[in-house]
Amino acid sequence: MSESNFVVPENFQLGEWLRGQGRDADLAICTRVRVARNIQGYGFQPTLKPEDASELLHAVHRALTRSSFPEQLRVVDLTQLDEIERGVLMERHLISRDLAASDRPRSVAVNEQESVSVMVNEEDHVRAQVFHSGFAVNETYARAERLDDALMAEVPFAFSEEFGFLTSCPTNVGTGLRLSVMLHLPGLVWADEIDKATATVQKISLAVRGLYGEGSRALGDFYQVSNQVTLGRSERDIVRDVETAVERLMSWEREVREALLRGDSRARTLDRIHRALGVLERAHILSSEEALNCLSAVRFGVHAEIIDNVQVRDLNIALLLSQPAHLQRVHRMPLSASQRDERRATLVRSVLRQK
Amino acid sequence: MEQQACTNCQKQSASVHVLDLVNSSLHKQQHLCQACAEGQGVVPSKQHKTTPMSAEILEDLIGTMTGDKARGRRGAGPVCPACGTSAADFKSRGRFGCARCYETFRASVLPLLERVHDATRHQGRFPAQQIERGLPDSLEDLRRRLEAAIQNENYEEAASLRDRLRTLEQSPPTTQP
Repeated sequence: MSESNFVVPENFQLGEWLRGQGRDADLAICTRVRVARNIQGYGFQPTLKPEDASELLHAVHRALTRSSFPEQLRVVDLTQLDEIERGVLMERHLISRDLAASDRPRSVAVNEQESVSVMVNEEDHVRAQVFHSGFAVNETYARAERLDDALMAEVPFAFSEEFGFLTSCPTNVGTGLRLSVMLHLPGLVWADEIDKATATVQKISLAVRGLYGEGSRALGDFYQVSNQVTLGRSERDIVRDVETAVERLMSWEREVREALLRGDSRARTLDRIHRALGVLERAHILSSEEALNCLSAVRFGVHAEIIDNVQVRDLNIALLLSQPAHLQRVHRMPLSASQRDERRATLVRSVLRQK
Repeated sequence: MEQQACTNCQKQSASVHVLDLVNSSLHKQQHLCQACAEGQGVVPSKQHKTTPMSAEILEDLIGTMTGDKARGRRGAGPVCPACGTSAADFKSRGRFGCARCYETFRASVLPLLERVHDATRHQGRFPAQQIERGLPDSLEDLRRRLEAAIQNENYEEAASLRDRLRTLEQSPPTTQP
């Protein structure tokens, strides 16, 4: 592929999580709610026999595709997809790493906007997710609750009065609810205040994770803030806890960004942002980590109105397409790490050049 | 920022600074690392709630709580009558085998939930259909009511409670019609 012939189709779908719109979208990339449920009468994942796993899968599919179901979902059988296609779904946050890698009968049901995804036969039988671009904890939770109600009307979930919704891992029992907001916090990272900020959040029993959830590193200055506790607090409490913590982090980030653009710090900040743009526009070899870091700096620059000829949408396209599985799908072949670094540089250059 | 060594252990860098003021002038100062500060009771221990619950920590916890019963021997301790999960299985996987496991491993589950969630009882919503047809009986509640009925010499109720307990104990609590 010659270096200038990569064209992003005009109708390229970024998915809900990278739509880049909504409240506080400059800092809050996406809000996500995940609900973990198991179906009565079936063993949990560690003891579930393959034939029961298939039976369960079909029961859930019937419920999901009923015409009265509130969401229009398309069921994708993950056993029919190759590794790259599963990787693409993972990079779009529609399935978990665990679901991508397992060899159980398993599926995901997704709507066209990629704002709803229901994973079947994950660690729990059903893990339903709702995404909303920007900071929208109440709306996202409300939609997840509707989805949960619709599912519950069709399949009976394992529930105990005492422990709530029963999950395979006791860390999720109770509400089975995980609410997370993905924040972009380059200011706190550059000002060396990120550890202090994450410690503050952890002190109130919330978790801070990287771009791809548990165990993943905070690449590109993306941090996911989510509730840790699922038992003993109501859904409403959890929504309020996360909302309060995220608001605090966002105002901290805004203060730090202002400080980084004032006085002696300003020149260093501008230099860092413009150098990052230079790398993205000129480099011929770009590792995933360098790409994410440079995209982060440029995103900061665009929102601070320091860079005016780059669109956030293009940054999001570059972010998504430079992930390993997307990169390999664009090229319709598996690529080695060094091939990927070259292709990634080419791709990012052409995305940023399309004005 | 320049890192100052802990004035107590001289090894770790200091993160807690203690200033003794006498008549609002500095009388004495101490710079301590987190561990020494905790040791001297200057700051409360960070261990309890600030550490995120990672899979490893969970494994540790499960290890401690099932340790007494399992004592490292596979198959020791309670075994779930519904799915066959043993205490050792739960310890090694950190995952329950079925809904019934919550009752089977109840004695270990409660302290675990207390540590992880700082709570042992659900406060969130209930499935709608469960409310319509009346809440399901939990084994714990039934046992309590049975004891009360026996104490009150209410044998008719005790017999009916005993029967419901028996049926519940023979199958996972959530599969009851």
